[in-house]
Amino acid sequence: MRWIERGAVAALMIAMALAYAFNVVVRELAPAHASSFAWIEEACLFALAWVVFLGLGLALERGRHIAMTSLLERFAPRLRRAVKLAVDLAGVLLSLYIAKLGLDITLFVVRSGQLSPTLDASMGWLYAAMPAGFVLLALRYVLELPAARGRLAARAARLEH
Amino acid sequence: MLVVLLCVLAFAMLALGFEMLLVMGLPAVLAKAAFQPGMPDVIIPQKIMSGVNVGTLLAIPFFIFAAELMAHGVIAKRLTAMVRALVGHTPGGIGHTTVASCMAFGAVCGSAPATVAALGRLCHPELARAGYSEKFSLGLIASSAECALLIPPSITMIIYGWITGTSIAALFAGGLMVGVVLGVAFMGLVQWETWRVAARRGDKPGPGERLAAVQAGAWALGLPLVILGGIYSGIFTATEAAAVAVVYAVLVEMVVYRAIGVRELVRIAESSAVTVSAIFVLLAMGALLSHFVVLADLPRIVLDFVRELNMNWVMFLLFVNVLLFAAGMFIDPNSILLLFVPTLYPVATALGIDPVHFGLLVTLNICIGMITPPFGLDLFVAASTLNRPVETVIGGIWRFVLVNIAVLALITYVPAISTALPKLLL
Repeated sequence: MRWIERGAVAALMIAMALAYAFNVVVRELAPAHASSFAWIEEACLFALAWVVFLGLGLALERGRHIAMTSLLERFAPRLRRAVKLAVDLAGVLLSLYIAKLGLDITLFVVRSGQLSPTLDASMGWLYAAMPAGFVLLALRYVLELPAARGRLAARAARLEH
Repeated sequence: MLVVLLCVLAFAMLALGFEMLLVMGLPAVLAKAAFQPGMPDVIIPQKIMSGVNVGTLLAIPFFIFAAELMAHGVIAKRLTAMVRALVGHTPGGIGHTTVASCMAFGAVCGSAPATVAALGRLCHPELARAGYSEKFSLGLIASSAECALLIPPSITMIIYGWITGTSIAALFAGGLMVGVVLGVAFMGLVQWETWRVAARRGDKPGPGERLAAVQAGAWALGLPLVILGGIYSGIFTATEAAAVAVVYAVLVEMVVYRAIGVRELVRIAESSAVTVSAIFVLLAMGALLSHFVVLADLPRIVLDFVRELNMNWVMFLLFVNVLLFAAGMFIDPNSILLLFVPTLYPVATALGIDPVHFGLLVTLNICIGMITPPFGLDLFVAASTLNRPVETVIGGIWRFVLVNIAVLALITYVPAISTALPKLLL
């Protein structure tokens, strides 16, 4: 499961850069064919959305999301535990709420049959990244609930030696 | 009243260590429920997507990917070796090498922490050997890396350009000048310290050695040429230059220098993707938040306040500098852009301030924020890559902060430094 997440974001990163650069080369060397690859820009934007939202959960478990934890780290263990629980609960609730709204909008654009301008794909492919990613983020917040330090330890290990 | 309550909630969440995505997202969702209950909820996912699905922002993942490739491969090393061969033997040469390497690496990389991580380990032992104190060396490394944010490409400027609709090419051109001014100011400080501690010079290399170093670095040097040359000759947009930079870096590191294998490429791609996710979720939540900030008419309230105090642009920029300096001590760069620029930018343009000038001023403030305690990111990155306590890095930073503030004052009140080059080029 995690393996799929990691492989997917890595593959999308590489594919995006190659496709986009390919587009430039075609335009400079064979401008006549450039218009037949106009969909690449849009495909890259779709890929970016998937990288961003699929990466949310991975970023959380590695303590890579930006947060100001210096004060939290200085709290007594019991207080820190309580605050972290509040953070995790807020994280679960907000992620699930956004995932639900994301699913609504995805189903809405799929039903409306809205197509992207140059890619000719349903805009649902773009919006589907949001519920998928935020469900994975909610899952990571749930997994963090029982941990006393969890991602705080991962972040500390990364910042301090 | 409710607005104040939401601000207090956001600030409390920030201080207690909530992830920035929650600090921006929760108040935004609550503001929607409180002030715009009639508006359909789909506005929330739409606005979130509007911070991601943007053509100009596509440059950011590419620049991040390219920077991580170069930091893990040998491009950073070759650039440093080349600069050292050229200036290392002059008085203060090792110190100047550090500043100039950061500027050169800044021309291929748009992120200050990445620059600290890539160059810190290369420059630090040499600074110690030349006789500079530990505190000075660490301070120099952490602060020289700021040049990476100013010298194009710069992720901060891309985001500013997206928020305000300012030309990214113009911001890049102005940033080049401001970055050089800042680099020269740091070199002045290095010179003074060199005299004070009578630091040792590097060995003078022979012409053969120099030629060899330049040849070894030639492929690395091609990268800034491709990026800047491509953008200003009109061949590439900034995003295209960024994608080409990735492919160029992959080719140079994997084929020419054979420093990175396929397995490592995948690992770097994955780690870049996680960085991209952490940055873009802020852009997404920031787009959501700033939508409600604008709906709440915050910019007009600030403008009225500024008008009431009879502030002219000189006073207003002083106010902006103080505000951003204070905020920068606590909040990370991208969040500062997203939290303050949507409110301050309309006020700045109403007072007749040039958008490029204002953007560079904001960027420079963000740079200072990255090296000011308690939460300057560069301080922590320097401490962790060099295995030194954060306290030592902080102990040596104050002189650099002072030089930085002097440069900020110069850039603030001499707009021509920021605007001359963009006007000439574009």
